[in-house]
Amino acid sequence: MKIRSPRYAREIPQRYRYEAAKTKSGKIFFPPRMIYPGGETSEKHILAQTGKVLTWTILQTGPAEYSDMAPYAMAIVELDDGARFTSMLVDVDLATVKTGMRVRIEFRKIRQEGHEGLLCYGYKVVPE
Amino acid sequence: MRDVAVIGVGLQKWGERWDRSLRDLYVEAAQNAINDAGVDHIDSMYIGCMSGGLFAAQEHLASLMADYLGVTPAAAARVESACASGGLAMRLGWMEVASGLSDIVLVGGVEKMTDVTGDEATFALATAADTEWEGYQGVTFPALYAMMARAHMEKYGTTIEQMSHVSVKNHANGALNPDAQYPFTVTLETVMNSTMVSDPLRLLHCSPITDGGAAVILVPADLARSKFKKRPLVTVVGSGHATDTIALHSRADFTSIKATEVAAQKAYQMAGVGPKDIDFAEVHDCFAIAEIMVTEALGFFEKGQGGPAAEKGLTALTGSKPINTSGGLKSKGHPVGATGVAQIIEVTRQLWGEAGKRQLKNPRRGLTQNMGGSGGSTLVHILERKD
Repeated sequence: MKIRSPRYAREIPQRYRYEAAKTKSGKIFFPPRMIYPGGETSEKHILAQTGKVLTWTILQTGPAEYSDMAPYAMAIVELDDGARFTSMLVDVDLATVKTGMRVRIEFRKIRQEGHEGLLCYGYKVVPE
Repeated sequence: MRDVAVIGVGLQKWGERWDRSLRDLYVEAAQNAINDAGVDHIDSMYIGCMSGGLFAAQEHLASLMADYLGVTPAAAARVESACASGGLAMRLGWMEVASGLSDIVLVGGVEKMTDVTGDEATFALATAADTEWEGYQGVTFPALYAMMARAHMEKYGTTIEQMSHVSVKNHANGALNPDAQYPFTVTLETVMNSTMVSDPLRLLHCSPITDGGAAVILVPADLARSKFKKRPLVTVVGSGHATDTIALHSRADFTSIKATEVAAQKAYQMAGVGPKDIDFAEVHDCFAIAEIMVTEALGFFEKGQGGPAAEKGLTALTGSKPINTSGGLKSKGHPVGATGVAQIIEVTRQLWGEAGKRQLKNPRRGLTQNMGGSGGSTLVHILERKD
């Protein structure tokens, strides 16, 4: 059992180009949505590249395709423009992870579907 | 709307039940409830089940369960709201009887979780989060609740020791419940030294995976009064239902569970009561931190006081607000689709005075709180003894 790589995955620009949406009232949605609260219109917004850790954990075991990476850190991050998302926090000494630490978003391989299968890309964060 | 009574309950010993299939678990619990109530037929039934597909490669439970329970062509529906599927089945069964559409409704829940590997079960459960934007990044349910725990600890000073007291208390209650998966006590030291799962949550802060079923029979209160008089009348006086964002990171505050706050307010309003009027409650302690946050969301304790309340013993069997007298998800087990229905069973048994060694002294009003995912959906029910 694994997370599928739907064929549309390579059509999700948010995984590769950090594209979000900003509504008229200034709220950032990552990923963009089909509709927004109150029927607000939106425009394309490129995410800030840096931000901070709001909360975090270190997993000793992960889902099937991630368990080889354990122990690893996951965090909920708020970028400097206010966008929030969940991400792996890598290239870090796990003993130094803390709330409020500054991080930078990077384009990374997330997982691979077996030795010869698809490589799945996306974003992770690293210490700034 | 009509008043609705619970007149029969049924479950079985929960745990790793390699002697029972998905359908066996459901049918056994349902038949126990039918026998307990003494009804000779049912008009319809609701089946709470999170993922027959991922855990047992079986969908279309409406037909399967009606067939194997021998009640076709009765109406049946399988409903899903992740770990709140059982609570949702209860809500829909209550609505059907309250509305006058049916007189005798079976509300059941089931999950067969141990036929897949631990990794596969972790994956199946993780689909209750946002698969594309949380699961894909490598998050698990222990990780989501661990991040809530950390936020709660940093905002309110909640401690690992306080969370560990929740596990100790629930195991103490579960040790008195013969149907519990892990009916034994644990010490504070054992909990605090158990294997780390997702910092700061350790193994004994987490509910297990479980095979199990649960079922109750609902009828109009008038019918219960005239035809089913062997026990005190227990009716549903409040029902609340609410949702929140699927992803934890979309919420303004990681230290509160808004869907539970809203569902509770709706249920309190319908019942015309407040948190102080609730004698005891069964709540969704999928992780120790969840019980602390839920007891705050229900208004039993101020924000940030859920941890100290557990530490002081206020939520123990002998405390002022007993929580999870059944042992909770932690000790009783957590077959996700069955959990919400089993909460109704525990509250009903306590109100009937049939809770055995864990019986509270003359309780009159109990509450159940069942939630899906990291709090993306919540069902709250309030039951009352009417004599």
